[in-house]
Amino acid sequence: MGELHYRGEPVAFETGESALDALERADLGPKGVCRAGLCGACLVRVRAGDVPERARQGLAPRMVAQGAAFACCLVGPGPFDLVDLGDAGTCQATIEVLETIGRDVVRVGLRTEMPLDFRPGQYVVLERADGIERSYSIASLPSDAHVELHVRRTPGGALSPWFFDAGALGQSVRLRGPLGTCCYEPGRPDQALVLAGAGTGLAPLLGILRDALAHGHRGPIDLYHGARDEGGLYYRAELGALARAHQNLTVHGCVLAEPAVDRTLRTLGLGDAVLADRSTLEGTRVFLCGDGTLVKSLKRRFFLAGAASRDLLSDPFELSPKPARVAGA
Amino acid sequence: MTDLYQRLGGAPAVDAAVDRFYRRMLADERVAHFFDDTDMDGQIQKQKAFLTMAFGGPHNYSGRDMRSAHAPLLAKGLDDSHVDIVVAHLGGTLKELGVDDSTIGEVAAIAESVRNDVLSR
Repeated sequence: MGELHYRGEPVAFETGESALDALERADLGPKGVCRAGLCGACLVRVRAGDVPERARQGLAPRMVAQGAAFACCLVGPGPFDLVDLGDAGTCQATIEVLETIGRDVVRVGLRTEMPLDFRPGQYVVLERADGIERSYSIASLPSDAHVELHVRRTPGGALSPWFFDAGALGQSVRLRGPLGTCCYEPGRPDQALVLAGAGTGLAPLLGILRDALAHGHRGPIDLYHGARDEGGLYYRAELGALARAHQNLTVHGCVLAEPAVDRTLRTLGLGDAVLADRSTLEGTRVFLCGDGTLVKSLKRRFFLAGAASRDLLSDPFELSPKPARVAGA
Repeated sequence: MTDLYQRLGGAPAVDAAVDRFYRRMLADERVAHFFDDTDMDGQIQKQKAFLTMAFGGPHNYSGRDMRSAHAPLLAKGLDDSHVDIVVAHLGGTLKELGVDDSTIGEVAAIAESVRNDVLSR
């Protein structure tokens, strides 16, 4: 007999069989397809256990850092303690900062009961006392005083309007996470970086950008922030200050409607702006955050423009039920 | 681990081929629409599994897996002409990578061997 736990529950496990075999027999968790550590259908997160190299072969470093492994390659007797890829711990946090930073965008600063061990670019699921929960990307670095989120007000939304109400200040919320793999990997410091996002997609990009700069990234970094009109952009001054402090950073504001005030803005969609500035994305590392439909279409477009799949990182906000991302509704 | 897979260069060869192969498919409007709703990271992983099999590498695909995986595409009109295109892009990718014609023929033969499962017949 081997030893296997899935989501904390023991599962019958024989020596010589794979964790996937055992989970399928118990009708739990992922279903296998290729059963050879390739297709990714049976990826799980290993909380404890001795993971053979084969169970992580070919996985991106960002996946390995999250504990991901192919369940079909985890062979008994174990022991293995497995959870779903999206499973993470929880902690309590207090809302200490509520600051309007743009039209219908508020910066939420959270103090967590213990330090949240996150990587810039990841997100958390925030749950209010009444059980309503939404996913928000983290805009801060672990060294900052607060875990910072950018929340856009969704009219009629179940949670977001609450943050625009002073009554939320000082309230306690529960955070689940951190989750997500759209992060800066140290290494290749001379590579060109493109960060593109619309609306509050800027939040994770800001974390990723500051993380790359903190790691001494030397290659050119282009940050593209897009919105329908200039009122939809925010943090212009902060981004300008960062660009002045770092010679290799250029910030581009992109709007679809002709700007009335700021003539430095470009009247171009994000994808058009990025591709107008370079003939190919081959060799460039790209980070895409924001509205899910936009991010998915940009990802495909940029892949066709030469970006390598392993260098295309994204955090698509989805307006759909759990466990997918929910854009600050 | 077969001789063909070793000659092609094993897992690193699959990594080198997968982006080129998938980019060819997405750029080809005759087959691109089959990938419209799919998550790109998941697709890349699946294409790696396909290439590993076609390169003669280790895999445990069964005919049943092939059938169920492609059933939704059959509903969208997948037929022999599309399989031909995939096999052609596979050959084109290998040619770009400097693989000789007779080896490309061996890979194409393995890809052909799953045609009937892919098309559920």
